[in-house]
Amino acid sequence: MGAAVCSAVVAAGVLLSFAAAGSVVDGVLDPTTRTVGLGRRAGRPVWETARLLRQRRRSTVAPDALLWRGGTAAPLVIALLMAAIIPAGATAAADPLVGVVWFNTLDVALWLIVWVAGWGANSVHALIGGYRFLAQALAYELPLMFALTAPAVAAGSLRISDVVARQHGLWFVVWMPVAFLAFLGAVAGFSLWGPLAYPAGRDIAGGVLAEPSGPDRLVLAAGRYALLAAGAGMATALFLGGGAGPMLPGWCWSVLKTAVVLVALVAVRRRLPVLRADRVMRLAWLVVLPATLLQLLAVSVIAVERS
Amino acid sequence: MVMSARLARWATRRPHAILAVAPAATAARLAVERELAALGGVVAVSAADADVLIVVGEPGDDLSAAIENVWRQLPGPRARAQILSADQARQALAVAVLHLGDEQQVREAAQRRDEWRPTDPAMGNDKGGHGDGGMQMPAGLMMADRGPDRDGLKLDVLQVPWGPVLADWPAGLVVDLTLQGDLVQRAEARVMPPAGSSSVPFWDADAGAQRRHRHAAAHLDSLGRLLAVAGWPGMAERVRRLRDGVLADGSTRELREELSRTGRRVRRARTLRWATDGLGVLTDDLVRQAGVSGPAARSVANGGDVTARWQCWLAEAERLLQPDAAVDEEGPRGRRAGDRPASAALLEAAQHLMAGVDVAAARLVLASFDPDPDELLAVTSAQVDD
Repeated sequence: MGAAVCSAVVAAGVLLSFAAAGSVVDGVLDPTTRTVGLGRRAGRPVWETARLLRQRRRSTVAPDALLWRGGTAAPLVIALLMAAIIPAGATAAADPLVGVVWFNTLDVALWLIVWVAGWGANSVHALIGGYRFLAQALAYELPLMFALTAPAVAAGSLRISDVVARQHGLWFVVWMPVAFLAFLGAVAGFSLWGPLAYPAGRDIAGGVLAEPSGPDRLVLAAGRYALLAAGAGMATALFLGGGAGPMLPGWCWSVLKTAVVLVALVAVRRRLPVLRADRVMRLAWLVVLPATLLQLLAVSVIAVERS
Repeated sequence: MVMSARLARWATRRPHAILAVAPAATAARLAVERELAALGGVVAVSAADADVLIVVGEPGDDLSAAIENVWRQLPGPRARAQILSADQARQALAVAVLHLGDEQQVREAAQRRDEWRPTDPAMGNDKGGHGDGGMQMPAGLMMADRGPDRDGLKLDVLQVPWGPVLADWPAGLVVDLTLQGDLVQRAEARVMPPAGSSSVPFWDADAGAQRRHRHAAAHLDSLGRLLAVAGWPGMAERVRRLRDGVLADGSTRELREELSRTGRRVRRARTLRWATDGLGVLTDDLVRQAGVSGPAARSVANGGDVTARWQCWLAEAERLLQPDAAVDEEGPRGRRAGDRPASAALLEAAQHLMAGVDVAAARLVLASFDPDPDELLAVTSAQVDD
């Protein structure tokens, strides 16, 4: 029992460290603040945390306070629950039989959470942001589900440790690149990140980010980075062989690979235009979804052959 | 005490500033954008996100009232500054940030309650006549009216003003939207005038080559704003740096090369095309009806959509920076027809094309016309409302 609590605390600590590191990388790579020095840019999580801790928590006219505060805090909770099953090397806080389903369930919960965060503030811009998230989720969710299915089919198991073990000798990314890319796209989607930050768009004053201030905003912003970090960790376990690698210990490889994926995800921010959900829906359903289905078919055939 | 002083120092390293820009203060606005970036600050997108309110120029009564409304919504600790001319920007910003770090600020913020004005039209409660008197909602709000939408359903109708304090938005412009969901049913634009008298619009000032460079910078300013609205802040920043370069140095070789590199990147961006293709199509009829001239009218030949308009800005900026380019007779937004400036026609066309599309598309349509409020000052509000 004590060990379980201990490993859960470690997982949470690792996730939050990755979230903070993601923010540092974001500050360093941010193409809009080249005029200030490197140290100033890299310190972004410190400045922003101090700023938001010092800031007053503000309200709006007649908000649905419970849903609004709940919706702003919950993305971080979801990310923590995801982190619980992400292995570092051979160890994870938990390794349930249905690990892949656990991850999928949590990301679907974000549909409600982000919508509620937008709706609860009783503000037009936030409300539109909430609805935009639903539209966007409609585009990425099915490709994500099939992308998650591919490694599970190949491993013949929904348990994350089995999926990692099955990649011995050949990482899944090599023979399921489409699923890997669809997965990364969906991670950006549920983290409201980069080209998929449509629900938090500048054109609607930040959308779901329009109204929270102070600690609320801090928790929401941390939740975004944490979701991104959890997605990167999961991509490592499902597609990049987890802790497999020469010389270094397993956990070290997990951390390194996760860091690389996280940096790649962070780097696309601000460098691509936002994809509007109504415009990319056709792309998602006519190109990405069939592509992930074909990927799944290929994976299934190979899995049957191999067994 | 030491701890809170350190927290304050850290907290002011990356101040978020919301800009409230009055018309006829473009030079000051450009200086504020530049100095804020040099300070390590960022432009806030909403009042909740802001620590500093920067009033640029001299707002008139209406605009001042709107700005006070925004000021009340800043969570605090908060500071404000008014910047009337470009050379004040650096010092005024530094003072505001210093003030932000004051310990008094935290105490003041803790005691403050959010105040709301129940008569504020922003809350959508000032339209009666639907027989739902007595249906008082909490906080004195009324239920939204309902009306038929394009699919034959009855949906809530919201009256929402856009602007005048909004990121990447023309100075002092207000667009009163009638929204159903995120669909714009009606858009009516007006400009809140500044306190002082108007002068020659910034983008059309000077003569000869300088005036030509101003025009090129005007197109780059418009393009930067459009890219920001399209959610591409990295490229928006690059275009704005080009704009500042052109205003400072005119047409140098490095700037021309950088512009052609930037132009290639923007033209190649397929995802930008997805967002702007086929949107807000300006037809010959509408050109005549609204009296549109300038780049917007010239882009009709290339399809007349948002894409055609931003491509036209890019092409004209490239042309105007050629050393031997001719100086245009007309302003960057087009010809003045009698006492009706080119931007009045742009605004009319924009508000016509904003109706019937969703909020994201409507903002792109408006940004693709980018009417210049500095030009609009000479007209009465009745003409603009037309």
